[in-house]
Amino acid sequence: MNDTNQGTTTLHLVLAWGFVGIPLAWGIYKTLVSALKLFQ
Amino acid sequence: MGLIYFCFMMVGAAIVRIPAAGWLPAGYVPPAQPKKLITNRNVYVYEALKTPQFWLIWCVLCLNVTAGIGVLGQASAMSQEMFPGRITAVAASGLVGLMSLFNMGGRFFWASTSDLIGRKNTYFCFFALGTLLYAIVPTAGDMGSIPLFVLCFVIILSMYGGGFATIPAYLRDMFGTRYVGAIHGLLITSWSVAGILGPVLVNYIREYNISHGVPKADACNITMYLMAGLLVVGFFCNLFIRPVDDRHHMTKEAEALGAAE
Repeated sequence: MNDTNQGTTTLHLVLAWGFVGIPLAWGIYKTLVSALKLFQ
Repeated sequence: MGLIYFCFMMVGAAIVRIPAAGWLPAGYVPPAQPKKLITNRNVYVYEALKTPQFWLIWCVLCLNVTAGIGVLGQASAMSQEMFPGRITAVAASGLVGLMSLFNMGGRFFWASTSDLIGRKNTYFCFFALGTLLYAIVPTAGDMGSIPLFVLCFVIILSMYGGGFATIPAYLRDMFGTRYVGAIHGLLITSWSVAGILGPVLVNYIREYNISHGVPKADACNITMYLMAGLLVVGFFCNLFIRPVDDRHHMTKEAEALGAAE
C-alpha cells in the first residue's frame, strides 16, 4: 500500500473540501439564479 | 481573477502527489476477467504516435470538442437570435452559465459512467446522442420551445466536458499507465486544434449565411447540422478503435529496466 496518505487527517480533508467546495457552491448558486431568467 | 487562479493552482500543486508504484485504493479488487480494450502493458510515449489508436482518439477528442466549443462561444448570440424578444442578453448570459455548470457536472458524470460501461461506449453515447441533439436544436427554435433548446444545449455541453474528462482513462486503457501523462500531453494538441476550428467554423458559417441574406435565426440551423455531421465522423473514428497491436507494447525487459531506473 501507498504510504503517501499517512499525513492526511479529517481536518485536512475538511479544509481541502471547504477550500474548493465553498466557492464552488457560491458559484453554482449565483449561476442558477442567473439561469432562472431564461424561464421567466 | 488571475490572482485567484494563481492561489488555487499553487494549493493544488503543493498537495497533489503521485501514488507509489503498484498503489491501489483500499478495498479495490481488479476484475478477474481482463477486458479486451484495457491493456495491462505499456506503450512508450513516442511508440504511441505510431499507432492508429492514438490518431483515432486524437480525432475523437478533436471532433467532440470542436462541436462543443463551437456552440459554447456562440450560445449567447444564438439563443437571442433564435428566440428574439424572449431571450434577453441577461437571460442569455444565464444560459451560458448553466451550460458551464453542465460542462463541469458532465466531467464527473460521464467519466464515472465510463468506468461502468467502458470508454468506447461512452464516446458512442457522446456521438450518437450529440448528433441527435444538434439535429433537434433547429426544431426547438421552430417550435419556439426554450426549455427544449436549453435541454439540448446543456446535455451537449455535459458531453463536451465529459469527453475531455474521459480521454485520459481512454488513453490509459489503450497505452497503459507508465507514459499516459506524456501521451495525454501530446493528444491534447487535438483540443488546441478544436479550440480554433470550432469557433472559426461556427462564426464563419454564421457570418457567411447572414451576409448572403439568410435570416439570423436560420443561420444557426446550418451550423447545428454541420456540428451533427462532425459528430457522425467522430462516431466512425471511435468505431474503428481496436486494442493496440502487440508489437507496439514495451517488452518485459524494457519495462523492468525502466522500473529499475
